[in-house]
Amino acid sequence: MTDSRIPRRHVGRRSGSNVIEFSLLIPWYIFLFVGAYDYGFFAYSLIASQTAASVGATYCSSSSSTLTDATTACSYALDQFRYLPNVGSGLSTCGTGTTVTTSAPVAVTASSVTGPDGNTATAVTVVYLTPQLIPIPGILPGTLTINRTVKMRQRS
Amino acid sequence: MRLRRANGRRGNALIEFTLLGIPLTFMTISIVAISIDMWEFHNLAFATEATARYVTLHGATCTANSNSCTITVGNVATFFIGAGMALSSGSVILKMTDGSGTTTCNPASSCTGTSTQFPNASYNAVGNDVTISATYILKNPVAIFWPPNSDPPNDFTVGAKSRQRILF
Repeated sequence: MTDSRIPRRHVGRRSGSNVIEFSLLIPWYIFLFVGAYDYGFFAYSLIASQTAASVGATYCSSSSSTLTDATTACSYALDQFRYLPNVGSGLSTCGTGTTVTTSAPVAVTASSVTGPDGNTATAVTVVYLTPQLIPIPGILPGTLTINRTVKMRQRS
Repeated sequence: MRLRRANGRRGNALIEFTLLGIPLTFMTISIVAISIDMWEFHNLAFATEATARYVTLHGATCTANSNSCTITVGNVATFFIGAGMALSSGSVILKMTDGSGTTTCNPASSCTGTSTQFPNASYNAVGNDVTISATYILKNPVAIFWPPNSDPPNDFTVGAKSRQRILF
């Protein structure tokens, strides 16, 4: 219905306003879609990283000779990431130290430490660089570097 | 009441809304769909990890000193289904691997009654590895490609894997 209070020169200029509103709304819909997609991969990566650190620490804590065995811990860690696209079934080596790159997205370090109870323990750190996802400028980075550390007391 | 508008604009808003409302509806559905998909995706990772952990805590010592906590393939499948609450158990392919080979449950729900011991008695020792892996089909989140369960590439297969050592 035409509002008689609207100046006559404005009448007839409202055609297409829905298109403009739609255009303003679209970026938010796209951001929501991309945000959910990115979140799913980040959540998956976080779970895998935490498991990798935990499994690595479980292995390293099994005896005094394995406390700093980062190589075997790396093989366990990689097996938690096998279904992520930047690890896959072929990757068999980890990055040096805690440095991760696109070609070596997983790095594992293992060191002998004194645990909170004063006994010898291992500290295994897993660093993982997620695959390149869709960034949202200023809100979500396209990649995320996840760093998880687990300490576990030496068992025997 | 009959309304007349200047410049023949009567119904323009309705037409515009109809034209733009359809993609808007599809996009809204797609956002909900991808959120559910991603929930399923990371729940798959969690369920796989939790199941592997469950197996490693029910290993060799479950048969020692009159203990009776040995588990079966059915127990493992049931645990996985419980941990993967976001997943449709009829759509998950679950694989359990120990030194004696791989048991495949396709789907996971088909193994809940299986009484075969897992890990296998000949391989059930502290320090040995067990691997749990699972694959799951996600529905294409872009609603315009529905209906679901059509030929690929409308659906996506995702997976998770966890290799752990038998602890007890």
